[in-house]
Order: sequence, then structure tokens, then C-alpha cells
Amino acid sequence: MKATELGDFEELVLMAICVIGSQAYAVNVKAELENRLQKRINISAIHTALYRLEDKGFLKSEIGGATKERGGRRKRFFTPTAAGKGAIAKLKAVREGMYKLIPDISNG
Amino acid sequence: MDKKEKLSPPKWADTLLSWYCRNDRFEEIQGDLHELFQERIDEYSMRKARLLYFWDVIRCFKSYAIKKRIHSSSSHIAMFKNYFLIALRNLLRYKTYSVINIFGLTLGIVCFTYIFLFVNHELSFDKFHKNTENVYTVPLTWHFGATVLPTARATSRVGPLLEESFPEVTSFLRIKNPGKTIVKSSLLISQEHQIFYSDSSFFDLFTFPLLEGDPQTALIEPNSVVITSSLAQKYFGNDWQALSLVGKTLNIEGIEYEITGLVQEPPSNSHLQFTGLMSFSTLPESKGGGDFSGSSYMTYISTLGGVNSLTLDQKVDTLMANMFEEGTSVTLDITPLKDIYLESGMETGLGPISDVKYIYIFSLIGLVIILIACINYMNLSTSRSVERAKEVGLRKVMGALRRQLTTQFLSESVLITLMALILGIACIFLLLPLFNQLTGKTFAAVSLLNSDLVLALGLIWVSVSLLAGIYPALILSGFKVNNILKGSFKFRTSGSWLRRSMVIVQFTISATLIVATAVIHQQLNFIQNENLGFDQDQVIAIPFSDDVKKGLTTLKNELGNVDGVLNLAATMQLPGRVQFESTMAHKEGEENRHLMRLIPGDLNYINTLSLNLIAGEDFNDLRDKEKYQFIINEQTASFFGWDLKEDLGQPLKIWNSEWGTIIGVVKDFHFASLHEEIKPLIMFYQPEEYFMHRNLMVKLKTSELAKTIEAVEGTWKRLYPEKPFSYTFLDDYFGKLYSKEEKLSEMFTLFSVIAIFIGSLGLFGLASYTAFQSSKEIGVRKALGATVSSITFLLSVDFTKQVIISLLFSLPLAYFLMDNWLQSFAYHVEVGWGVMFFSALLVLFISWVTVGYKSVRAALTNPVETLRNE
Repeated sequence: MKATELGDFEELVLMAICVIGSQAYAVNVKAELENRLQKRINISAIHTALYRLEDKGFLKSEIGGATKERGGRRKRFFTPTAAGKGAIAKLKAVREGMYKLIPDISNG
Repeated sequence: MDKKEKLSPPKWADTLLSWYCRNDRFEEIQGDLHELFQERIDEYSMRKARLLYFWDVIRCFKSYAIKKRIHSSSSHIAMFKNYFLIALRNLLRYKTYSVINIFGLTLGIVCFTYIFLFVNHELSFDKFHKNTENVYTVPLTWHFGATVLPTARATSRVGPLLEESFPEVTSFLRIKNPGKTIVKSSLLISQEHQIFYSDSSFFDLFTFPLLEGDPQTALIEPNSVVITSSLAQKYFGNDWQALSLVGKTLNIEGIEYEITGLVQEPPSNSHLQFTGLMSFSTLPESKGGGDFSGSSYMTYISTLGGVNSLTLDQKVDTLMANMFEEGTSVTLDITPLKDIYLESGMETGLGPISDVKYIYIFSLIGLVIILIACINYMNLSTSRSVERAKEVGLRKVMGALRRQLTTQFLSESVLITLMALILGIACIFLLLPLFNQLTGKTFAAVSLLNSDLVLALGLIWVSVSLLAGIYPALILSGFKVNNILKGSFKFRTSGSWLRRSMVIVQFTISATLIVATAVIHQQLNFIQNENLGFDQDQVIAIPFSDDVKKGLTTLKNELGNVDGVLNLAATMQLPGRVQFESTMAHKEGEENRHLMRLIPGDLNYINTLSLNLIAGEDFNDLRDKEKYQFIINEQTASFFGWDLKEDLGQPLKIWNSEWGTIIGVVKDFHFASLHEEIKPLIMFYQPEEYFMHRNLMVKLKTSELAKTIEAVEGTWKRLYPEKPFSYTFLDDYFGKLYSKEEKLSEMFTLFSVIAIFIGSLGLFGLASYTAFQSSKEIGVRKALGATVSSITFLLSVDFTKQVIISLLFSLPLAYFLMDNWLQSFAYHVEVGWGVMFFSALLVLFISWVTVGYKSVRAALTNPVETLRNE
């Protein structure tokens, strides 16, 4: 059970990939998240989350073609699996359900 | 754009990445990092971008990126199981070697741990005070012209003066040791040695928790006393706690003191060991700010935090300059509290003092002994490599990597060290009483179980495992498979030079320790048998207090009539402790005054000590009482340039008294320890009631000593039923001067025995292995007619060579070290050829017995036994 749960940061990474679309890889996920969260994130944290999400089956990945901008080194592109999308949707439902029950916020 | 592409991240960071990163993810991760690097060049300086790149490489050292081991974790555990199984089988199969290894390591660990405990305790002295960092002691040094007279204490003025003069000095504390005090309660009268006078700031400067009473006020009022629980128990019985002692009184030296506090026993790692503290305000000298006469007050100051003691020291020097008249001056040494015990070397008279030198010596010995034990392990494992070679070969054929084999052999040493460690811990607890006796410490078994010791043992485990195991592991795992399996693998001689040098190292250490032990023994023996110039045998010294002195003439007369008492005389300090120049003396016609040592003596002083009067006459009570009578030693005579015969009757002046007369000269005798040369000495006649007399020396007849002492005690009891009777033998008293050296001698004896024992164990192992290896050779030789002695010789000659080489190293080393040590004695033996020769012989003998036993047995074996199985 535990292996399929989503961590906080993992959830953010997963959503960032959904936002970026088909060309998501570590560097632009980092940029996306830094932009939204307004704080610096080390690349290794992104890597950890990506590979772990793949192990858990929320992401799948493939190697892209050779590139110009990084000395010809190829990129690994990540795309969300059905399970990944499902997990986000489920978490969103839980969150919204609870959110509504908080009197101060929902009324304001 | 072009330029930017040339700018690249640091190569070595890339190398680091490629070293740890798994291959399948290397390209993408490196790509990501490079891309980030390119971005950063636009944003930051090149330098910073490269630095950040390196930082990223470090940060990426995480599980997702690191190369996976070839085998999975479950087979990992299985392999370790197998390693341990094989290790255990090997242990059981070669029991001799296992026992030698484990036993040697155990001994090493036990020694090391004990030394660790000892050193740790020594280093912890006076660190338990909350205020340790800001408390200093202020020993005073007198300068009389060119003569320098250092003391551990200061005058009563120094403390108040420093507090008045410097705002950074927050308070001062003076402690005075009155020596012996007679304490009386309704239960008991007895003598105490550790009740001191102390200023009321005592509990501000020091952290000694009070069980009862107020630390702020306890020592303010005159005639107040704070006592420890042990003193309370001694004088008020076992139920002292029920008595609520605060407010009660205790009679000390005839004065009623109010008990204002009960304090916990001072911990054993305090340089200040007291059983009671009397308020300083009781003393007359507490009135006003004190004065500069008599430096008998151990003085401490506390400063504000962050005060630099060097700066303060300079300021104090400036203050003290010009304080005295021409010719005399005083300096103060601001000494941190935590340095008093180990670094200062001052005789505080308030508790134990040690020397940091011993810490170094013992730490070194501890390390050296554990090294010897590790060498055993290394030598025995590598020498038996042939046995393990087949196993190594087979494992390699089955695909074991060198790294795995290294792990295997290391895990073996970890296992063996663990066994030794467990045995060692058991021994440490079992032998604790013995250790306490040896060191004079009082470690309780419970107190050993602290984090320090656990940490130390853990460290020992890891470091011994590594030290002993890494070399064999590298050697054994490095064997070439084809060599082993072709069958051409033989006892490798390439490693044997290292093995030989290891043996040489072991025996160099052992032999050095043995020579050192022998020299220390010799010196102690010399000290004990040296003719001191006076007869210390059968002389007892009975200390007395001031109120006894009034009736001393009666006591002397009564004791003189006791059967078996030959002579008796009152004096101040006993021979052995006449350590300080205590008077200024000068001869007629000379302005210069000289610091000299002084002994006031009673009529029979010379006879009681059987001093050798070489000119003139003994003290005489018929002479003019107003004039001092002096008897000097030869040193004083030659110091003043007097002829022994003709210059008798010369006038001499001590202090600022009237002129006295030299009436006699005695042959030089050792009135201080043999650490120092005999100095000029002046003895002067004072009848028994003289105020400075403190001891009654009684010379007894040799026969029926016990009975005579009993009679002396009986007389004392009859005259002073209220006063406790105690005595010491003068030779014991003198012998105590060398208690440090005796401790050292005991320790060295023990450690050198252990060192040579562990070394011999290893040698035994090596010898028996060599004998085993060459059993076929021996068989063939015997079959061809070799004699037992020639074979024994053949087997032991190699080891003998190693031992002789080690002697060549150790003898000069030992000579150098011990000659250095002997210099601390003014009178000492020389490190002679005799000691060297016998130590060398002893080491050779031990090694021959060790090697010889196995060699002879091998040589005696019937060749049929060794040759029939082929």
C-alpha cells in the first residue's frame, strides 16, 4: 500500500509534468516548480521524485533523441500514466471535500 | 555563443559523477546538470557556476543515481552468513592460532581500556565546576635578589588586592590548610587533615552541591563550618541524617564551630579534597585586606567571562612591580583552574597533584600494547595464507571479486575482535579492584558504563578490526587464481620481510619496556638503599599540636624513661620534607643575605638522627640561652668559605635576630628527596617548647619494637587522654617521597610483562607454523641423519636474528629514554651495561624458550610420522 502513496513533493512534481505535457523532463520540471513555488529547488530533489514516481507506476518515461543544447546528451521524458492521473484526481477530491468543511475559509 | 559553448563544467566534477553514477542514468543526469550549468553562466560568474555545478554533483549522490551492487541484498546477507561460518570453522580448526589471536587481543584491549579510563579520569580534573573556565589560581613567587622562590600559594593580601584593582576580577577566594586539626564531638575525638579555612566565596567559585544549608551565607560568620557527609557520619554516627546537623556545633581545635552546611563529598577528580571548611573570618588575618607576610593561602580568583588570562597576567605584573623595597619583589602566575592538577606541578597541599608526563607515557604504552596484539593477528593470518589459498582460489573461480574477498577477511577480523572485546569487557569488570589498587583510583563498576567508555570500546573494535585485518585481507584477496590452482603456490616469501619487520617492531617495544622497568627498579633500589647520612630506621615521629606543647617537657621526660626508647628530640619538619629555603642568613662582614634551609632542633636532635658530627660539638642547653647555637652542614660551610676546624665559633645571623655562633658541622645528609642535591642547611637549637616544633622524633631500640611503641602510646594516653595518638616511621615517611616513582615502577613492570607476553604469543604462533610447514623437510633431514640440535638450530636461527635486530634498536632507544628520566634525580644510577646486557639476555631467553619449545618438538618427531602420508 505504502509504495503507491503519493508524497507531498511527489504530487507537485506529478502535477508539473501534467502541466508541461509531452516534453517534460527534469530541468523544465524544476523550472516550472521554482516558478510556481517561488523558491529554489535542487535538481537532485526533482530526480529523486521522478525516479520514485516511475518506480511507483505513476509515471512512464522514454529516452528522447540527441539534443543540441546539452552537448548531444539525450533527455529522459516523463509522461503520467493512468494511475498517476487517477492519483492526482483522487487527492484533489479528498482535499476539496475537506476544504469545504473548514468554516473560516469556505465562507470567506 | 561560440565562447559560451567552450565554457564547460569542471572536468573533475564530471569524473566524480561518472565514478558513482549508474550507467543507465548517467547520460540523462549529466545532461540535466550541464543544461543547468549553461543556464547559470548567463546568470552568474563562471566561477560560481562551476562551483554550483560541483555542488549539484555532490547533491546528486543519492540512491537513484548510485551504481547498484552486483548482488542483491538477500544474497548479500547469505554471503555474510557464509563468511562467518567459514571464519568460525577456521577458528575451531586452528585452535592454537585462534587462542593466541583472541587472547592477545583481549589482553591488549583490557590494557588499553584501563589506560583509557585512567587517562580520561586524569583529564577530567576540575572540569565539573560550572565556572571552570573563569577561575584561576594565583601562585606567588618571591624574588630576593637573584634567588627565586616559587610557591603554590599567595599571601592573604593578594586576593583582596586583585579584586580591588581589576574590575574584571569578580571575586577572590583564599583557602588555608591548618594542617592537622583535632575534632571533637560527643561521640569521638580524632585528627583530621582535610579541614581547611575558606572564604565565603567558596561556593561561588566552585560547584560542590550542598545537601543542607545556604551556599551564599554558610561561610560568612566566624566560627562556622561546612562538613561533608563522611565527616558527619564519622563524628555523629550512622544516623547523622536524622539529626538535622545544621545549627549544631562541632569542636575543632578547642573552639566551638556552628555547622552551617552539609556538602557532598568532593568528587575524586577534584584537586581540592576536603572533609570540612571553616569560615575564613574566624582567622585573625581576615580582618582588613590581609597583608604580605607568609604565603600560606591558596588563592583563587574568578573573572568575568571572556577575560584573556595573558592580558590579566601582564596587568598583574605591572601592579606588583614596585610594590616592595629594593631587592625583593613578587610575581603572580595566573593559572587556570583546570591546569592545576596536571600542568602546574604545584604542591597545593589541598589534594592530589599529578603530572601530564604520565598521561603521555601511559597513553603511549596503551597504544603500543594494542599494536603488538594487532601485529600478532596480522602475522599469524598472513603466514597461514597457504591454508586459505585454496579457498580463495575456489571463491575466485566461482566469480568472487577481490572486493568481496577483502570484505570476507575483514569480517573475520571483525568477528575475532568482537570475541576479544566481549572477553575483554568481562575481564575489565572482573579485574577492576586490582586496577583500582594499582592506580590508587576508585572506579566503581557502575560508573564505567558511561557513554565515553562505550564510545571508546566501539572505536577500539573498529580500529583494531581494521588495523589487524586490512593487511591480511589485502594480501589474501590478492592471490592469483592460476597460481593457486596449478598447485605451484607455496609459502610466499615476498610478504615475509614485512612479517619479520613486524616481529622486530614487537620485540623492540617489549625490550624497551623491559629495560625501562629494570632501570626504574634499579633506581628505586638505589634510592632506598642509599646512605642518607642519617639513621632513619627505628625512628618514629609523633606529631603534636600546640596545646600539647605546654606539657612537652613532662612528655619528654616520661618517654625518656620508657624501656626501649634510646633518644628523642622535638623538631619542626621531618627530614625528607625540608624542601624550602625558609630563612635569610648572612655571615659577619657581608651585606649579602642568602636564602637557606633551616631546621629548628631540640637538644638531642643530632643523636636521635645519628647525624655524623665531623667538627665542633652538639647543642648544649648550658650555653647562653639568648644566643643562637648553629650546627651547619658541609655545604653551608663551603658556601660561606669556612674551614671546618678553624672557623668554628664564627658568628652567623638568621632572620633579623641577634648574631649566633656556629658550634658544629655535620656531614652532609639527605634532608630532602634524592631528586635534589644536598643544599646548604642550618640547624639551630631550640628547646622543646619552641613555638615552631611540630614533631617529636623518638629513636627506638631494635628489639621489641611493637612493645615499645605500645608503651609510648600508653604514656601519651596517660598524659593526654583527650588527644589522639599517631605516629609514622621515619623511613616510611621518607619512602613516601617516591610514591610516584613506585607507582610508575609497578605500572611498568605490569605493562612490560604484558607486552613481552603478547609478543611471545605471536612468536610462538609463528614458530609453530614454521615447524608445521617444514615438517616434511625436517622428516627428510632426519632420515638423512640430521641431529635434533641441528634441526632446532635451523628452526630458531631466523627468529633469533629478528630478536637480535630488535635489540639493536631497542637498547639505544631505552638508553636514551631512561637516561632522560634519571636526570630528574640529583642522585641516580647510570644506565649501565649490566642492565642492558641482562635485559637483552632475558628477551633472548624468552624468545628461545618460546621458539625452542616448538622447534625441539618438531625436531624430535619421528620422520615416519611426517613422511608416510604423501
